[in-house]
Amino acid sequence: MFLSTKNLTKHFDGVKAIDGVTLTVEKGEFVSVMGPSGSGKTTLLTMIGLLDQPTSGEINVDDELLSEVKDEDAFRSKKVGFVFQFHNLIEYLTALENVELPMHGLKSKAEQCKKAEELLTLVGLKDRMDHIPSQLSGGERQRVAVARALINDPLLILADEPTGELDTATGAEIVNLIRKINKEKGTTVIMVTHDPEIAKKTDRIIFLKDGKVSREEVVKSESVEDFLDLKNSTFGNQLIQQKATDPYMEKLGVFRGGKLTKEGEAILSVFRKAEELEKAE
Amino acid sequence: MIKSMSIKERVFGMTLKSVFRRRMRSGLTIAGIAIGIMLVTALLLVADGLETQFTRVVEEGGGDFIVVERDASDLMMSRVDLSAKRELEKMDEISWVSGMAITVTKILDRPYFMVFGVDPGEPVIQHFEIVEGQQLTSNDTGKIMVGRMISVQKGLQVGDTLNMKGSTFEILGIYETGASFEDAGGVILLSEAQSLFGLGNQVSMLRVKLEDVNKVDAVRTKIEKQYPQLLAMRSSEVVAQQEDLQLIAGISALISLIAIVVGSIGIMNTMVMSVMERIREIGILRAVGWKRRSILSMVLKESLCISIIGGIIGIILGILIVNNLAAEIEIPLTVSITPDLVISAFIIAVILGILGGIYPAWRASKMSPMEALSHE
Repeated sequence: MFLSTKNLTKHFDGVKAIDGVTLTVEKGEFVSVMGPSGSGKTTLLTMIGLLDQPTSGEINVDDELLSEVKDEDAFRSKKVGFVFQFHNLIEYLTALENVELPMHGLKSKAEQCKKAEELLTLVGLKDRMDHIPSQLSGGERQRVAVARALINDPLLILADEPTGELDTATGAEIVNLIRKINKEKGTTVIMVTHDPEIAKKTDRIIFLKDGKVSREEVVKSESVEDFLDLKNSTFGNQLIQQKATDPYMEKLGVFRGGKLTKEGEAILSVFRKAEELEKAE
Repeated sequence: MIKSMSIKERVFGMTLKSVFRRRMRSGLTIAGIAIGIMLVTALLLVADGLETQFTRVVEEGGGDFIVVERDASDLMMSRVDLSAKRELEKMDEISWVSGMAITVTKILDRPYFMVFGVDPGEPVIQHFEIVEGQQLTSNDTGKIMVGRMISVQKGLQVGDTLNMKGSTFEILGIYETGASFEDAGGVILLSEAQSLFGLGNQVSMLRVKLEDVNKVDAVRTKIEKQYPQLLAMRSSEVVAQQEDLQLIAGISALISLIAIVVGSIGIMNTMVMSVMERIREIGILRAVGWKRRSILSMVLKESLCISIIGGIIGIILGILIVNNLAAEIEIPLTVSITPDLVISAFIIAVILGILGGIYPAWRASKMSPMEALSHE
């Protein structure tokens, strides 16, 4: 277990923003946090990133209790990479300079400089390193932010609605980029979003409501989804009801003379197995 | 390409970028600082120039120390009776004593023309090195030697006549000493100076040369004991004794102080505004792991950047103004730009930057990253 919270609460002037959240995240997992506004999503993220302290409860990241971290700045710069919703780049610095910011005051600067270039290349901005944010599109700006989050090889990326200000297609690109980094580098990601389509691209969705975890959902992979789509299709129905209404079924060889063939029986048994699994869940 | 630059250079680049992003505000602040430092530089230059000139007038006539009237606020106000001179000459420790009258009058359209009354039989006359014409001798009644500076400025030549206090003087020679008070003035016989300026049997100061230079302090004490109305000083002490020079130094210190206070308030205002506008930026920097002291130094660097640019402009302007002004109003002031003086003005600019920047920097560094980030 890479990250866990235990009975986490956070009060703002007596209002419970987070009210007893206990959750765990595995190493390399890509988790999304969903919930209505004011449900405490961002507050949860800021406490995990040590930008804010909980009122009570504890957070453990990489076998380290956050309340016992002595150098909070070093924790933020070395272990965590933040990607915010918007206004998260410094407007008068170039993309390259923005990416370099988290290594301020850290060792082997020349090497890290090279790294900023590598990361900008990785996120597809090789030719736009010397542009300032106002010369970049919304999607490009978020790519810079992702590169910046990666500069010190963090164990954890905390993304607060990184697609919130982007159109659907660009938003999907950014999440795909984060997913790619998650898979290739094994970086654990916690992402707040309110877009169900975006959340579907992660491993697991944690739903927050009124500062509490209301439910969790493991996202089915695309092949599982495709299979279930097939089972629920007209094709699947004909097999399950063992009644061919489409002459094409005869041509496929799953029905012959209105009766299931051996091949048809085999597919039906797979569908039945899937139904059993669904019920078991 | 900036790729090979070190992060240090880039962070300094960040300071410049940040300062020049708000051109109008930074420019106005820099202009304010420049005016303040210009005043400070000009005053330092004038005070320093006057001191140097004064020291030379006293110093270069020879002798180990000088004797002046104790309560005189200024050399020109000092009166020492010649009877004291004769008595000092009798002392065994003393090799020679020479008296000089220093007065000021108006000639042509020049309000301040310094007149030195000397006895040509005494060594001090050698100090006025002749570049043209003749040196003054004891018989040269009605004759004057003038300094090179005034002769050039007023087109005076050997043989010309000058009207001074109703008497006419013929120019006998032109001298140069390198001290502009002297080079803008003139030398006449001591006896003539005494009658012309109503000094009677008095001079402004006595120069005393000892047989043994190691006995300076002993002899000074002895003289001051014997003549309570007199003051014996080494030339290095004379400036400290001159109340008008002290006044100028005091005023320049006061104006420097006002410039520092006003300039600091200006920078502080600019930096507080800048910090308030950049709360979110500071939040981002803190979120990506910048330490409080990095934020502190970022704001301080910007404030220093403004004050140093303002300071450099101010120093240059100050030097230009004093040089032009000295030429314009023909004051006998040789402006010497010493490294000390430039460094003093520069240090004042730096102090100003630190004073003005420390509070906004402290405020910026105190912000919690969370509050800063949620600021819209």
